[in-house]
Amino acid sequence: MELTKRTLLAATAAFAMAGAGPAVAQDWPSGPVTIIVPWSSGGGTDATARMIGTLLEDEIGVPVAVVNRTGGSGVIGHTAIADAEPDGQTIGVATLEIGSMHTLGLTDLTHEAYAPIGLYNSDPAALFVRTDSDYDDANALLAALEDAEDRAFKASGSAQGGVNHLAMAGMLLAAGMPPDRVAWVPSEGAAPGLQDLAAGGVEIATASLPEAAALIDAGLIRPLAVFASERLDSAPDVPTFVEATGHDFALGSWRGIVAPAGIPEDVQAQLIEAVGAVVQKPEYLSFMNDRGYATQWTPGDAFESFMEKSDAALAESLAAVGLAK
Amino acid sequence: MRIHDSLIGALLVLFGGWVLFVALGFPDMPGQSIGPGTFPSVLGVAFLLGGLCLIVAGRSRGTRRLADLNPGWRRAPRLLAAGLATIGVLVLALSFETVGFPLSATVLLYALFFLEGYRGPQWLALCIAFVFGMHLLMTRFLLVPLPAGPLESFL
Amino acid sequence: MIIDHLGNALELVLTWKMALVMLSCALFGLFVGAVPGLSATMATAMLVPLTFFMDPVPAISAIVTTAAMAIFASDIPAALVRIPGTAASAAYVGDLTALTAKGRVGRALGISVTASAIGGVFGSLVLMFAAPQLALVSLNFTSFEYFWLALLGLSAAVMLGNASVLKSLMALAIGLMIASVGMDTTSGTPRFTFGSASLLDGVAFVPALIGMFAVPELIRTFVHRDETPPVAPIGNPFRMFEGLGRVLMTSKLNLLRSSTIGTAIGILPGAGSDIGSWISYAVSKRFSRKPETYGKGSEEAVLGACAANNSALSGAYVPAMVFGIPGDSITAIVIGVLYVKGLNPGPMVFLTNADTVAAIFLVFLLANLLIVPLGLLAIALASQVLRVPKIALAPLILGFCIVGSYSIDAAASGIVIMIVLGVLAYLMEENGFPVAPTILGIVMGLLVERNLVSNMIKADGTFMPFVERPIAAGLALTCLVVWTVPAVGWLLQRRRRAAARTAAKQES
Repeated sequence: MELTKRTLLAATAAFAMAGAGPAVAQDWPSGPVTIIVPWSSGGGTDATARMIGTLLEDEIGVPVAVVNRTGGSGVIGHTAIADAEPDGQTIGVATLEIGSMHTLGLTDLTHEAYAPIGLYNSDPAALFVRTDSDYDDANALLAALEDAEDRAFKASGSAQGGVNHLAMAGMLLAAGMPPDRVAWVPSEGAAPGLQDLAAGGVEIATASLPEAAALIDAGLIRPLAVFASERLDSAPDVPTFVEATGHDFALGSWRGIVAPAGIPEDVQAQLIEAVGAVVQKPEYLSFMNDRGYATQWTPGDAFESFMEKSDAALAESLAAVGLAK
Repeated sequence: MRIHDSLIGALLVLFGGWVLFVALGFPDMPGQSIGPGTFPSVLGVAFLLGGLCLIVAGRSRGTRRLADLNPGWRRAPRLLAAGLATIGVLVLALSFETVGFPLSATVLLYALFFLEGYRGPQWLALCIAFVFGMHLLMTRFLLVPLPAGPLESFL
Repeated sequence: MIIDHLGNALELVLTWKMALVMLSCALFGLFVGAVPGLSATMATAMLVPLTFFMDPVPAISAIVTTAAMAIFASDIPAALVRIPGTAASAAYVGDLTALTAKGRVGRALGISVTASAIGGVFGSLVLMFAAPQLALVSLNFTSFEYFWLALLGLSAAVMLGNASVLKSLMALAIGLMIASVGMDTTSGTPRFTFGSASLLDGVAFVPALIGMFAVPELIRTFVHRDETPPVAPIGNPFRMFEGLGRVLMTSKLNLLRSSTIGTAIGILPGAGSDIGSWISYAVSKRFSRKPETYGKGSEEAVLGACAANNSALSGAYVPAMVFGIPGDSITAIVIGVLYVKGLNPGPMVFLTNADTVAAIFLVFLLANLLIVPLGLLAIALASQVLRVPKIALAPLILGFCIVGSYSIDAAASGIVIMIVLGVLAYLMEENGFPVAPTILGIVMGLLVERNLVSNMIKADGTFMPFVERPIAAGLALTCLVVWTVPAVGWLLQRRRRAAARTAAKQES
């Protein structure tokens, strides 16, 4: 009985911790900070945001709550960040989809609704086949695709118009083939698509390397090339697509911290400084490395121009596969 | 409320027709032979066929009255209670962010108790205790942001 | 091998800290699960931030214990006030409430808790000893196999009720239709949303579940209260579980069969834990000596479906641990926590972190064993609610429904969904349309559609690829048998009856 009471107390105390904390009297932060994540809890964006949130709490001395606002292919969460009070108390994680969803006609929202804080991660997509497939490298696969009829090969890895679909279409365009050469089998995310590849449902898949790590370790699938400008530290054996084939093509998903547009410049500067300090911490770096996520820090205006470029590239790929509205 | 099978069948046929009409209007996925309309079209056809079968099956059972209301629906307090529990909750949902949970739910719950014949301050107290207890539990313990409306600063 | 690491694993698990974590999480899960309208997914998601401060084994055990406990505990409001917590429990909620109405709530929930624990232990043992091998089996499933499996689950839902097959089919189609509301996940086209932004994300499942089961019951309580027979009073709380042991002893075969089916289906990511209990329900009805009692308060039915339900949950961790492929929202959360703790799911984790993995498996076992004592206690306490007349409870239940459907997405649109579908379910039940197939249709709709679309793209307009692969062909054949055997039986019976009638006529 006593034990029961004690555990209940422990649980209550633990939960109270998440809600309350000492407020620090200064301009910013003027109270608890909220990080809005447009994707569900347990996913990659959520995990990285929670790590940043935990460390940010130590950095700025106020509680940082991570809130998942999911739905509408990211539209709902991205809109919630843009609509928040521009005082620096609410920030959020923007992902690659901010560049594609307005081109797909889902929303009018673009990256211009945000004040950039910093880009902290980008994971290039990679090209996968089954381990027992005949194609030893990307060139062999491209040669086979060159000779094949349209839609003879099937590929999977994301929804129609998702980043991995665009990677496949962009690869075909870069190699001088029509995007129709490979039929895209839409899947809900990378995991089911890669599973379909391993099970023999499709011949090719595109996904990021960390998403495929377990199936690569199991010896069921292997990467042929990664769509990046240089090899990844986490996978030095996997050649880049341009190295392997001579065709220059790079694409990947990314994640960055943004604030609603219109926040005071000094608050934005303080945020850039605080988050910038967090992403240099050893706990953060080892967490990202363990999970296989690439790390980087591109703050402020450089992040802004990165989002602009990403936006334009996505619009081009989406138009190529006929999805632009 | 019991409705004659043939009438339900007819409604299903209408519904199936509408689903089919809307589904066939969806754009195809570029580069694919099928699209977002494929599956709903199959369902639309299923509603059409199932509705037709129900019309036939219902006719063989004779054409009695088209709808039958249980006697309970004719008693005003019960009708009102059911209306509150449905339309009342819809109104509550639509004004949820402005009026907030504690006020609207207390009013709704006490009105239901009142219509059932449980009247008096002790029942009002029960409603207040339940609603504010739930609000406290959700917002403090389970961290669900139930809106409190005008009471936001107070709670 | 796991056995070699059990010693080290025991050292990791049998500590005071672990006992504290598991017990407090068990109580937390029990509490959240037992509050009508709050779900296991919500309980687990709320724990995620806390696990950041824990070591790997306590972190995972916190999630696993909470989930196991909350999933069982959601059967308590299912039996008492007809608000089930998961899609799997929707299969047997009819039996639970019927048993409660007969005054056998203690037996009904007692069976639920022990069968859940037995199924869970069975699934955990399978997970411990055969996870990597079984995971390989699950990787033979492409969209073709999933399509047929989903069809099999849906067929089970149509066949398991006592309603007319035509009406069950229509109820299923309504569910599939509800599932197709929202933005199409493959093309991004909004469907049947009437321009509403909150419907873009589809009809939220938890509000639908609450609405379709609880609201019709509320309307009946408010309006036709004199038509419904009074609930039989519950007896002495110390004697409410009488006869439980005997029921368990006589159903050993049912338990074993249901646990096996549950585990086998549970290891298939995405489909498993939702349809495991439905298929097991249909199978146990097929083998039962009293199939006519199914759906009207059958203890056998509850026993089989609960065992399958919890063994399927353990099964769902197989692809999650071995390949990082989530089976449902809870395993998705567990995978997230595993990554955070540096235990990246994959075949390597069984070698590099064998002690920790063995400890996690032990936690699965313990969590399932912990269900029984805590569960029985919770049942005895919660059942006292039945002493209050139903009519006086009704407004409060409505309050729970409102909070529950709001809290899953913190959106008022959930309340609208709950009420609209609740009124629809009331009309359906009044007219002999069962709601259980609709619920399964809502859960499975996307899976069926996605795999059908994938298959049609892969097959390029031909049919052969649907049945070319051996497992797909086997499942397709099973579907065919499930559909034709009852139809042929019905035709034969009709002909025999007609023959008997003409024979009788000739005699007279």
